[in-house]
Amino acid sequence: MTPDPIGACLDRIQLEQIAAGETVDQRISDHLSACPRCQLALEEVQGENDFLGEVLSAGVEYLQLGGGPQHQVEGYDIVREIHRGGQGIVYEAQQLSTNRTVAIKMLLQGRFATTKQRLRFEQEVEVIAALRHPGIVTLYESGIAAGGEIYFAMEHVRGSTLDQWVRVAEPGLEERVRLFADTCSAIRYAHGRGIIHRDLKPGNILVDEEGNPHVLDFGLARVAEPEDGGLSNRLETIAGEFLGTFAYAAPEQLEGDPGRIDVRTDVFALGILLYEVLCGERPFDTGGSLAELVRNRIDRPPSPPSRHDPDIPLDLDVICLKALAVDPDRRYGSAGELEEDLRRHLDGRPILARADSTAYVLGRLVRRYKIAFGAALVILLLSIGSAIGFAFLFTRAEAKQVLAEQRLAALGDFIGLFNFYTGQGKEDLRVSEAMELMDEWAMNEHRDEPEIASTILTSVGLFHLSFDNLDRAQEVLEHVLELRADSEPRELGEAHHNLGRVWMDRGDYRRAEIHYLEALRLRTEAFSGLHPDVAMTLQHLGACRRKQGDFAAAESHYAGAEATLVSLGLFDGERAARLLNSRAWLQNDRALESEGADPVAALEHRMRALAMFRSASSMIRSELEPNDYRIGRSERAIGKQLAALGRHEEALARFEEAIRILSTKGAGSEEVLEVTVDEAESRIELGRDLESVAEDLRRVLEAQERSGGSGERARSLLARLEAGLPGTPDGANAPE
Amino acid sequence: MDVTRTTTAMLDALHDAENAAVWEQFDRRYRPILVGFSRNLGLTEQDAADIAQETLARFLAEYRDGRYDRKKGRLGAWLVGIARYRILDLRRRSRGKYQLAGESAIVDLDDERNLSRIWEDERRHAVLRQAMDELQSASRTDPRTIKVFEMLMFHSMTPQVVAEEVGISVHDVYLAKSRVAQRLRTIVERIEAEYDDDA
Repeated sequence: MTPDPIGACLDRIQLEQIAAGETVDQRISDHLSACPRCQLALEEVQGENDFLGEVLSAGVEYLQLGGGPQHQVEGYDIVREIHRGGQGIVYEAQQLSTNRTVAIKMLLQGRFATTKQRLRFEQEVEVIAALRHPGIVTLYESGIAAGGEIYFAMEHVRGSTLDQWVRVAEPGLEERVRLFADTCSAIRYAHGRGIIHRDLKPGNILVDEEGNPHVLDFGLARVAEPEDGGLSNRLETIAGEFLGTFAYAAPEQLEGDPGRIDVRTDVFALGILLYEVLCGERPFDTGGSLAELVRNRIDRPPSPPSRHDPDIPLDLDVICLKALAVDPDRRYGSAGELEEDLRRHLDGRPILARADSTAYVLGRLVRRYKIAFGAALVILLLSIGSAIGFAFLFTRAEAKQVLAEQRLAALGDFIGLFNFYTGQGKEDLRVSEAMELMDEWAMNEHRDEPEIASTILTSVGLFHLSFDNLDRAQEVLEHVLELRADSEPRELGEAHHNLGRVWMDRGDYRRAEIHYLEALRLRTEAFSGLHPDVAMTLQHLGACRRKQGDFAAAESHYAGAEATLVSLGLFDGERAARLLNSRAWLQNDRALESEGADPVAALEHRMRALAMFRSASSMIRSELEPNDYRIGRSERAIGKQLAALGRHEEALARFEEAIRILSTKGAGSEEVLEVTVDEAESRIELGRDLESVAEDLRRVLEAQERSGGSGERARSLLARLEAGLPGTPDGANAPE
Repeated sequence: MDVTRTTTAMLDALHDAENAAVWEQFDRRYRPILVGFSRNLGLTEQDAADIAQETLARFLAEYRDGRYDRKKGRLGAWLVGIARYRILDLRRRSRGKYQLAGESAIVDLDDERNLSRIWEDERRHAVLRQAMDELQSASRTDPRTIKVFEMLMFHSMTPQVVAEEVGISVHDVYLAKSRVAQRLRTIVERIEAEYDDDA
C-alpha cells in the first residue's frame, strides 16, 4: 500500500459514523474522496446497513418484543414516550439549555431506516420548518441523535386531542365552531404554502389548555405546487398506494389515485372532523370494511348533523354537507372557503354555500312524522309486531328468556299507551293477559274495522309464535287471513307469510311453502318486486327449500332476497346479518353434503360459510351490546367453521369468546356447555392440555345429564380421549 | 429438523399424493407469504388467512390435475394468479362486505406488475424473518455477539452504550454487528437458493 499523502485510512468507527450520516471533519472527508480503498470500505458498511434496515422492516414483530428503542439525544433529557406510530416515535423531553419541555420525534427504524423513510422524515422536517402559524406545531430544531438517528424537536402542546377535548371539556356549540374555524385557518395557511396535510384526524389536532388548536404530524403531507422557492415534492406517491387514515379519507383518496388528490382532499377530512365535533359521531359508518367505506362515502350521503342534535342550525348542516360532497368540484374549493362560511355563521351573516337537497329531504322526513295519534298506535303495534318477528329469527329454544325480557320491555311501552288509550289503568299486566286484552280489544273495538283488527291480531299471533305457542298462533293468524280475504295484496301477502312461518315451525315445509309462494306472489304484485317484505319472504322460502334439502333452490331464493335488499340500499345491519346467517348455514349444509365426494367443493362451501358468518358478525356487532348473546352465538358459528377447516387455533379463540359472552348473559347454560364441547374438540385436535380437556368434558357431561340432556357429544369425545391416552383411563399418565 | 428442499424438489415430490410431509413443508413456506401478500392488498388478518388457505388448496388441486405448467410462469406468479382470483371472488361474493384492515394499502388487482412486486416483497420478508429465526436458534454464532447485535439493532442503543454494557470496545461492537450481518447474509443466500423456482 502506498503511503497516503492525506492522512491515515479511516478506521471502522469513522466509516460507521459516515455511513450513519453523521458529520465528520473536513480532513476525513478529504481523505475519503481521495482514497478508493476507503470508498470501497464505506460502500461495504453502507451495504451492510441497508441490508440490516431491510431485515428490520421485515421483522417488525421482533422489534416490538425487543422492548422498544432507548433513544438518547444530546442536549435533551428524554422523559417518556408519548406516541408510537408505524414509522415514527414521539417522546416528551426536556431541553437542557432552555429547560423547556419539547416533543421529539424520531424514525422508528433509527439508524437502519431506508432511504425512502429518511426522505419522508426529512420532508416532514422541512414542511414544519416552512410553516409558521399559531395553529401549527412549531419546529425548534432537527439533528442527529447520539445513536445516529435523525430527529426533530418541536413545540410540546399540553392539552388533549380534538375528540378528547369535545368529550371532556364539553364546549358549547359556538365554542366548538370557533375552534374549528381556527383549525381551518391553520390548514388554509398550509394550503397557501402548497402543502396538503393528507392525514387530518382528531389525533392530529391538539387543543391546548387555552382552547387553541394545533395541527401536527405532517408526516404524510404532500407538497402541491412548488412556487417561489417553496418546497419541492421529493417523494413520488405510487399509484394505488394509500396514505392516510381510512376513517377520514376522501373518496378520491380511497381510490388511490394520487393525481386526484388536492387541497379539497383535506377539505373532505375537515368535513368529517366538523361533523364529529358537532354531533359526536362520524358521518359515515366506519366499520372496518373498505368496500363499505367506499360505498358509504359515495352512495350514502350522510344525514345532516341536526338529525343528531336538533339544536344544530341549518347553516351548519349545509356547511358540513358541502364539505363532505363526494365530487370534489361540489366541495368547498379550499379550507379557507370552509373557514369563511364558518365565520359567517358565527357572525350571523348569510353563508355562501348553497343548501343541498339533503337538508330538504330532512325537512320532509320531519313533516312525515307529524301524524295522527290513532295512526301512531297502529304504527306502534306494527313495530312491536316486527320487533317480535325479527327477534324470533334469532331465537332458538334456549334463549327464550332473554328475548322474553326484550319483548316485555317493548310491550311495557305499548301497555303504557294502551292504558292511556283505554283508560283501564292496569299496570302490572302479564304478557298472556295483555295478549288476551289485545285480542279482545281488537275484536270488540274494531269488529267493523277488519284492517285495524287484523293488524292487532297479527301482533298477537306473532307473539304466540315466538313463544312456541303454535296452536294459538295458528288459530289467530288463520283468523287474520280470513279477515284479510278481500284486503289489498300487501296485507293479504303478510297474512300468508305469517302462516308460512307457523307451518315452518310445525315442520310442515310443504304447507309452509304454499303460503310463502302465495305471499311472494302477492307481495311482488303489491310492491312491483322491490320491497324489504319481498326479500323477507324470499329468505323464508329459501329456508323452507333448504329444510327440504333442495339447496340449489334455496340458494337462488337467498340470492334473490339479497339482490332485492341490495338494490334497495338496505343490505345492512341486522337484516343483512340474518340473511347472511341463513346463507352461511346453507353453505354449511352443502359442505357436509359434498364432504368425502368432492373435498375441494366442500372446502369452498366451508370458506363461504365462514366468510358469511364473519360478515354477519361484523354487521350485528355495530348494532348490539358487546355482550349480546347473538354475538356469542355468531362467534361459535365462526369457530365451528374454522374447526371444520382444521384451523383449531383460530377456532379456540372464537369458542373462548363465545363462552365468555354466553356466560355473562346467562342465556342458556346449555349452550355454554355445548360450546365447551366444541372447544374441547379443538383442543384435542391440537393435542393440548388433554388432561384438563377430559376434566372439562366430565364436568359438561355431568351437568348435561343432570339437566336431562343426552350428553352424547361429550361422552363420545371423552371415550375417544380415554382410549387414546396411554395408561390408566383416568388420564393420570396423560402425555404432556 | 426438516430436510430443506428447493421449490423444484418440493414440486416434484408433490405429485405423490401420499407425501403429506412435503405438502406440509410447501404449506409452511408459502402460507405466510400468501397471508402477507393478502394483508398487503388490504385484507384483514382473518380474510388473509382464508385467502391463503383457499389459494393453497386450489393450487394443490390444479397442480395434481396437471394444470400448472412451469414453462408458462414461475410458481410465485401462479400463486399470485390464484390468490388474486380468490380475492376478487371474495369481494364479489360478499358484495363489498369484505373486511379490510384499518390503515393499509389499496391495490388495483389488475395491476400485475404491482402484484408481483408485493409478492416479491413478501417473499423476501419471509426469507429475512426465517433467517433471523435461524440466526437466533442455531448456535453457530457466539451468543455474546448476537446479544451485541440485538442491543444495537432492536433496542436502538448507541454503540457506546452497548460497548459499556457488554464491556468491549466500540470498535468491537461494530465488528460484532458486521459479523452478524455477514452471517445473516449467508443464511439469507442459502434460503434464497431454496426458492429456485420463484426467486
